[in-house]
Amino acid sequence: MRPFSILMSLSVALLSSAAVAEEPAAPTPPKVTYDDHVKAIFRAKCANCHNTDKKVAGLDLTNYTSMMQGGGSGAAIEGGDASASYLWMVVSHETEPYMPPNSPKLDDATLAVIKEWIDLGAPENSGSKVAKKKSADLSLSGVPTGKPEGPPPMPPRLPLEPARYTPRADAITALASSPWAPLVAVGGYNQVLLYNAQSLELAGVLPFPEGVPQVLRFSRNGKLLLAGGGRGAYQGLCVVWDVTTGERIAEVGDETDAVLAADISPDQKLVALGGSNKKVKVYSTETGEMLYELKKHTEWVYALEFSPDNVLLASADRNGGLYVWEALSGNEFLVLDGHKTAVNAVSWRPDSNLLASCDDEGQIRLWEMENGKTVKNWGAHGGGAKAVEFARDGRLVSCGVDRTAKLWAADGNQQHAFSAFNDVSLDVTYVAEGDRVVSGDWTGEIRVWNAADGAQVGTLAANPPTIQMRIDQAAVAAAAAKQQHDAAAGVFAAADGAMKGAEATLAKMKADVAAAEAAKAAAEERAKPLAEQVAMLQGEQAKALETAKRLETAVASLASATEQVKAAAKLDGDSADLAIAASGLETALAARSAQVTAQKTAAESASQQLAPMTKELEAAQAASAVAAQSIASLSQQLPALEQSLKASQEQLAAAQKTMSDAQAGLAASEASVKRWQDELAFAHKADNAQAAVSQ
Amino acid sequence: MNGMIRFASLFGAALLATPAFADSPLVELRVYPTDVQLNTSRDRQSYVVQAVYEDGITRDVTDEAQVAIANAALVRHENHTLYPAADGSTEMSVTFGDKSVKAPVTVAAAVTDRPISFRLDVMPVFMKSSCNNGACHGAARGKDGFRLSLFGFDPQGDYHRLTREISGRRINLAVPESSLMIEKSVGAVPHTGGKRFETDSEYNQTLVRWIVSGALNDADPAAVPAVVSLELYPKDAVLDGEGAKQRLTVRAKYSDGTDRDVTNLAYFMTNNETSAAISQEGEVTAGTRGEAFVMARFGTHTVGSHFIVLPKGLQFTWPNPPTNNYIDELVNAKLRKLRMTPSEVCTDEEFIRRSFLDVIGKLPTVEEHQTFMADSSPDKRAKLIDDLLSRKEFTELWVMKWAELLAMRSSNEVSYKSMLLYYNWLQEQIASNVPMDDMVRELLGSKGGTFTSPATNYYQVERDTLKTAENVAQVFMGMRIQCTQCHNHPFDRWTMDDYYGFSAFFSQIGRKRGEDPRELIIFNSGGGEVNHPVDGRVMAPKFLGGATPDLAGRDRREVVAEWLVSNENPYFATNLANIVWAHFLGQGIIEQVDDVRVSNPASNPELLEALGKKFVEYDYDFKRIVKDICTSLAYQRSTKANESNAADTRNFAKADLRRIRAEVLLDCITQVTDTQDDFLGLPKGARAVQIADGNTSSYFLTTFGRATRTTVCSCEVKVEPNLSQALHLLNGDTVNAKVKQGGLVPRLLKEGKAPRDVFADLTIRSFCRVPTEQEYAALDAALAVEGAKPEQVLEDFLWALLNSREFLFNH
Repeated sequence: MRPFSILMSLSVALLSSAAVAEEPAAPTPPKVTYDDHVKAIFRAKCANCHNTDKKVAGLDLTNYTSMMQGGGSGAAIEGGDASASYLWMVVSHETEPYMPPNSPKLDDATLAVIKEWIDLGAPENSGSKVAKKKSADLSLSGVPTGKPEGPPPMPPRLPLEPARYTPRADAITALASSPWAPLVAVGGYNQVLLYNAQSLELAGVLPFPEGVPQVLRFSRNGKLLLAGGGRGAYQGLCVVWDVTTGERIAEVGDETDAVLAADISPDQKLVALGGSNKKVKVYSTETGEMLYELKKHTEWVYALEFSPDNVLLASADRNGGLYVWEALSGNEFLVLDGHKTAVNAVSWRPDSNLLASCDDEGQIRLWEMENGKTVKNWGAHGGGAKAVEFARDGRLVSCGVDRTAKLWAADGNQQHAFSAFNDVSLDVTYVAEGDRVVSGDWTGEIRVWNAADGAQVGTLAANPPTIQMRIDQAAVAAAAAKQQHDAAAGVFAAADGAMKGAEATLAKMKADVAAAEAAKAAAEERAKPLAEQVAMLQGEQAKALETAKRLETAVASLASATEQVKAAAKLDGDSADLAIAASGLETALAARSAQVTAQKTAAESASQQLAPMTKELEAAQAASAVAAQSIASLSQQLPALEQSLKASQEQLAAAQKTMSDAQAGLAASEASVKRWQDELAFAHKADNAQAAVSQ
Repeated sequence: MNGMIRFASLFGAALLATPAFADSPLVELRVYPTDVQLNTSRDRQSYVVQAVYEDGITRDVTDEAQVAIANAALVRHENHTLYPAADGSTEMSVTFGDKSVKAPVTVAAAVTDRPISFRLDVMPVFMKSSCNNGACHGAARGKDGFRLSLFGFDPQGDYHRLTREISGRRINLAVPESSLMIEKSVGAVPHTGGKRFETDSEYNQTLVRWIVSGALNDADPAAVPAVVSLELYPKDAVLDGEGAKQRLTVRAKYSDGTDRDVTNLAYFMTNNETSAAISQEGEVTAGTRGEAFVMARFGTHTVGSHFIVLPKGLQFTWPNPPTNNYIDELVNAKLRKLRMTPSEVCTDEEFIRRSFLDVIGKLPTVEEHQTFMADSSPDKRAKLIDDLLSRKEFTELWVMKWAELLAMRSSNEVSYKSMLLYYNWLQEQIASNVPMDDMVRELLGSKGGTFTSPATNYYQVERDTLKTAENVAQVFMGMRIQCTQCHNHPFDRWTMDDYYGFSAFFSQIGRKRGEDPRELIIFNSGGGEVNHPVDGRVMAPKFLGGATPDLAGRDRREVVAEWLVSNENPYFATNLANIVWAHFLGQGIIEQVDDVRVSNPASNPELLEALGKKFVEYDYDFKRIVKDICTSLAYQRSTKANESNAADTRNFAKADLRRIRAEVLLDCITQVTDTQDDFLGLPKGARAVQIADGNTSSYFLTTFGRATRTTVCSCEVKVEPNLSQALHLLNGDTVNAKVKQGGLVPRLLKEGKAPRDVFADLTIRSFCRVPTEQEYAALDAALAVEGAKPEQVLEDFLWALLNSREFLFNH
């Protein structure tokens, strides 16, 4: 005994020392505590019933210890996680019974205090150590992938003829994707459509003449596809196809109303189905016998799923009932209590440890399988969540009345809200092979997004046209391409003509310019010597006139001198000297006059020579000017002409491209016609084969 | 061609010449509706032509009448229905025999289609096909997993449930005709409700067309025109003999001014299947002699037409019976219409017993009997009534009746003291002949403590806002609006809006404890509203079938009380008059008296209106209206039927045999046996009529159906005979014990009366008549038996008298 107590005291000492040691590193005391804040709220609002004496529902909120013990419904407070605390659920009106009863919801500020307090770990007082409860570990690790051997289970060539073309698509009631292949299945009237999730092309049509599939499921290995559905109030069943052959390999169930929920077990030995008769029926795929029937649901069964480890089966109904059964025996395993309205979908996480469910209140709940408690719940879609599905990596996709499909991280944090539909989004699936999300809405629109960036990559038609319609469409397209080609050819010819005309014009114009230039040069050539001669003659003339003028002045002075001499001689009487002088002068005068006359004559002759020459020169100059003008005008026209030529060339090129495009289009359309004719033939062949088999 | 026309007219003439009509000349030709408006290419209007003969008989001559359209290019005329062809106005002239009548026809938007509307087109199909009635999808939890709002009070919710609740199931947008809704309705797949209509029916076409167009909701529900009135034609008919037929046509008028022929969408009902059966196509087939109210319901509106069915070729001469006052004139006018002769006037002995029981709840004493019988004045009956009205028992009887209407009953919530003060208040009101309108105004507007101001007990007895409103409507207007709490009234015009609007008058009644814990103080709290449960909007107080008053600064209860007794409320005076009438004649002009509704019309509306008017004219003086009733010959008829009125139950052609109500019966037994009763809270010898508390009763009273006063319903008082009543009278401790206890026979014998005289005395006491010779002979025989003691024999005879039907019934 003693050693033990010693040990005890030792350990206590150790603990306390550890505590002391930790003291400096301890977090600052929490702001919200029971003693300081929450107790007063509970006293004011709850203590009338939940006190130590009355203890309604076994719960006493007036002291910390009893409060943490919880009440008749189990723990009231999960320290550290308000959303998982029952007390929080009832005071925040997430769950009934709403508390406080018959009163309005507590005001937001009060609720915020309570939430913060619980999230902080529900400390008693500021001295309390907050043993922060680790919130449910929602991470996924070490999951057996279950990836099947061999190539991805894709369908072979299948007929692409829809069972019936409808101008309007019906609401998307059933949507599923293969876990191991880029393949999406879409339910429609009398058929299941298979689409390639990568190319978004129709990959096959599986006939479902029994009615409308209400649920589609791929087996866990992606090899089988199950459709549950039928005709309302008339027939309900499940049909199983082998995806890799496209063959219908099993029909299970014979209900009097359409099957609303169904699944095939991972080992492919069981098929479970449920519907408006409120029962879940589980059949053996080997014998087709019903193995057991679950009658616990009080309303229509809306959702079913086998756990990936083949151990459990979850089923949910329109009344909020959600149960987990042992898949092989049908024994009840857990009752998952929490939904108050119709549960529209359930989905297992690939490790089978967590189940997701969603309801008409818009909540998504995650349940653990130890005690069947909600480990996480959140409002996902205002007005109602219609579908939820776990991806292979533990993420979730969901959609609902808010017209939006959403992608959630494993911990419930929203990663993407994809572009909103025009109406209620009814089903959603995550395509693991390609990381894409596919969802459909009430109006029949199906959209495909990249999960990584949320970008829409395309749509899928829920009401694809018949092959004949496609052929007709392609033929129409071919005709259009041909028409386009012909039109382009016409345009081409016209452009070609125009271009040639422009070219000719241009050439002629260039020749004209050259001619004008030559004429100009010639005229200039001619004018040059003329001009020189004219200049020379003019020089001569001017010189002669100059000389004459100068001489005339001398003549005049000579004449006057002669007169004077003569007069002097007269006076002198005929002085010989004078006379001689006079005659000398006269002789000189005459010589000079003769010189003047000669000069004048020379000028006259030069002037006479000059007149024709000047005329000639002017003509030559005029010719040159004309040529220059012509060149100028031609040069002005030239750019426009070149422009028009260029335009014609471009037109020509465009027409040529259109022609080749149209040619290509025509070829494509013709190829398409051929392809769909081929598909039609294939579909007929398949039909005939089917007919032969059934005969 | 000419020959054919002649032939056709000959044929028509031959038809006319058949004896049934030959006797009585055609006096009027009616065509319904009196005007035709066609709007949009989808519109149409069916018509009916009714011939009225001099003897009042009417005949559906739609098939035989010649119908010509002035501008035939405007309409297409097919199968008694007009369809639009081109816009314009023209006239339809209808000729039959030597009469003709014209009706204007207007066509607008003849080539424009009207887009399909969920509310205008689809919802009426559910109503017509009974999809949304209470036994099917209209049940609170729906049927087989699918719910529609009861009689379509919530179109928005119905739209949601049809299209989005389980998407892809009820509606198939891709292949509309494979929608479950369609497949179930046309019987293509099993349906608990069976096949509702044919695949090629207009109903199915409407639904499919709606789905084909995308199963859309109305873009703006508030903008969808509402039905403002409904017309059912013809408004009345007198059918000649079993098998006679009359087609009906129904037209709805909308708030946007348009109208529609809704004959195929209206739901048809009759209140008398055996006299006038009606098919869902709107054709009435006459059955046995009688009258019927044939109704059409569309949306929240119900309208009715009055049908009388007479035996084929009935020969009838109106005997022109005497009348005493306006009541007789109006009752006789109706009887004449029905070709019924009223029964004879009752004997004086019948009259004295009847009037004593009815007016004061007692039997006349031997002396009163003798005095009356000896009186030979011609107005002795009127004098007797005057005498009775002045007695205190008259007051007591009516205090009891009012105590029932006000549910005076002590309980855990209502202390005996409180209740007693309430009762005394009432007694004072009635005894001092306070006009009814003043009394009701004081009652409804009352404020203060339940001890000091006892009228406030009205709000202690019923503390629920909605129930208070229901009680006020039921007691003071005679209307049961309870069903409109959760859905629009199926057989009346009241909607949930009306209900919550009316309830809002009672939403601000403040209640707090008085000093005495048994006392409650009623005050105007000035706050509190009523919200509409479907969309949560606050309802403004609105009079039932009346205006939305200005309440600024006023107590809502005072406002509603003033309106209630005012001339604006057509129901108050007539309702009170009807309650009084029902007391004296055994049944109301509207029966039950608190079940006034479109589908339960007055058997004689003119009489009801006259009584109401008189009541107002008399300033709500109770005694004067009672006197009018009791002095009328209608009240004084014999219970014996004649050949023509044997089948009548509703028109006061003969007096009703009525089992005497519990309190009065006990008082009568006590009176005849000369005993005394001892009731809780009353002195020994008090009458059962005087019991204040509904909670006080005895085995006898309970067995004979005394009102428990837990509700205000007129059905609380039960006068239906049953086995335990008979057994109790025969073997129980009332009659036998009282015969012994009272010692009447020994006393009379001791007075020296001969057994025969004692027997005569006993017979007058109980039956108000002297014994017949046969009865005397029986007495003599009994007395002659060896060892018979006269006392024993007479007591046995008294026991036998008290156990006889003649005693138990007022006749």
